[in-house]
Amino acid sequence: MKWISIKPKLLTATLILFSICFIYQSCQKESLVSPDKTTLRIQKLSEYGIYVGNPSDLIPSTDYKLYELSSQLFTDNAEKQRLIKLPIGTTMSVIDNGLLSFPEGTLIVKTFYYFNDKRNPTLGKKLIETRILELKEGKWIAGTYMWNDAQTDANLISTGLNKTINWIDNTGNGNVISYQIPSNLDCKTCHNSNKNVMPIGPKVHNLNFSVTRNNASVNQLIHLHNEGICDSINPDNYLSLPNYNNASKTLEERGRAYLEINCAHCHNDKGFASKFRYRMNYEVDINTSKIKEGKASIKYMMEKGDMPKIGTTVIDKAGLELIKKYLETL
Amino acid sequence: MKNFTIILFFLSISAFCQGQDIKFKKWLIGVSYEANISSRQLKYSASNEWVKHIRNNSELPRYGFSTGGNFRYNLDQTFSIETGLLFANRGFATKKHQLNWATPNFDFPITSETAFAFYYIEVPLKINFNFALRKLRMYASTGVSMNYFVNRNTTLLVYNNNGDKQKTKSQQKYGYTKDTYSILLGFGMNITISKRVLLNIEPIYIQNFTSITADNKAKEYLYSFGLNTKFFLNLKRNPNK
Repeated sequence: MKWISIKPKLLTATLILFSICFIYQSCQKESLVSPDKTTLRIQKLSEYGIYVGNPSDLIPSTDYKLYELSSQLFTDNAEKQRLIKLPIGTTMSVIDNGLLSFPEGTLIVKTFYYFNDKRNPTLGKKLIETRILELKEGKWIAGTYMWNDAQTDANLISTGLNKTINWIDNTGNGNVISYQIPSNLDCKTCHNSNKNVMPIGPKVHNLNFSVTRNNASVNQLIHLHNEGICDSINPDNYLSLPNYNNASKTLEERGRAYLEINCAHCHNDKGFASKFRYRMNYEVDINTSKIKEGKASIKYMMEKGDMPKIGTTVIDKAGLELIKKYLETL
Repeated sequence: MKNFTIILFFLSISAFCQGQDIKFKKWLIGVSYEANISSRQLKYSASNEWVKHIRNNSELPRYGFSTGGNFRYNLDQTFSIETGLLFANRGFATKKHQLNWATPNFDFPITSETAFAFYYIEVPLKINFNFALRKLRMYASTGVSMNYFVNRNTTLLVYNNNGDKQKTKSQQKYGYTKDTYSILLGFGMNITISKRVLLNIEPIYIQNFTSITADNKAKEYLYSFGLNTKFFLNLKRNPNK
């Protein structure tokens, strides 16, 4: 019978398939990677000496300088404090396209937290994580520190973790989310530029706006120069990225600012999503950006929560409304 | 509860069914549904052991399933080979978490829990060894499964004072290995429903032997214990009638 002749072949084929699977498995390095040069090595955040006094007060030591961004990335409604430390005697300078050049040894620190009750900040806050970028041997190294329950220190975490967070927002609603602390791989996905880790936020145009320091309003670029960590930059020579929450700005300015800070770190020529058509940087011409052609798709992906792919677990409702209104004008 | 009902139903059938000496054709086509309880094993680098402890203290197994089409080739009376194309949902969940509010309000949720579901397209390849145990026709089964990662769904459930619950879902596609492999170990029973229909009831253990995470400092392996039920059909009329 025919099947008798094909039976040995089937058995052989099966055995070969099993062997391939097991050889493939044994070739895969399932062992864990020992500490390497791509991640931070310091285990406790306190070793950096970032904060003085009670860490949950978020009072930076004198080495760490506060900076703000005119438009901020949405991260599940988390509050953020941004700090930068440069080696003594060094400064940031402007290079091409309004990007900043940082000296070796720069530390960029971003702490994510929620007010327990945003209507009353004196009721305290929950520190969730602090992300650090360190420029070492010409390359940026990323690390995330997760705050302990006592809020006294944070431990280096490279694996990613979901943490249940609850807080009361400024309208008095009780919110609960499964906050996602990113893994090192997640960090490298968003901060990817030509397969190198790069800072996303601190660009000249996103720092070029008025901030309040010592009860006085001052352009942030001038303030950072006065603090001795930035070259002298004439703010008038550079674009100022609008705050997308500023209702006095045009819909186009606000919409493009939102897309710049929330999408452009992946959707640019060198980013993680460079193979896709969109170029979301603020300065990119609307026709080159392909926003107009893809407006239905952008709206659909944002409404479904499919975009952004990582970094959020809830939809930014205010941001979505802004983008929908902006897209309708195109 | 629904899964237990299914398990009890099929166990009842098996208690009443005895093997009939019907020779099925070489090729059988079928459908399957596996109800399972799944969880994960963690292998973390020394510096991340504390995260493993946090997770092991806060996470629990959860119900999952797999379903799809199957093919069986009977090599002879003793051996058969099986493959298929399945859609699977395996994962784990967190324990209930008490929520404390800075400004208490009766309308605020009081507890929450989170379920993590990993969706895969699976292609199993198994060898079955058939044997008789008294009047029952049993088989032992082993093989591997190639699994293609679709996405991870995170479902947050919050419970209110009045017993209401609200559900929030989010999806994640990045950070997980696209192709993973599992080993399958089963022990089942062949039940002849008719001359053309064969029912298999198979308790099955599935264990990933490649990590589901793309992280090189943390490995995560899903495993599940389940009860797989398969209906096989002869495509043509049985010549041994």
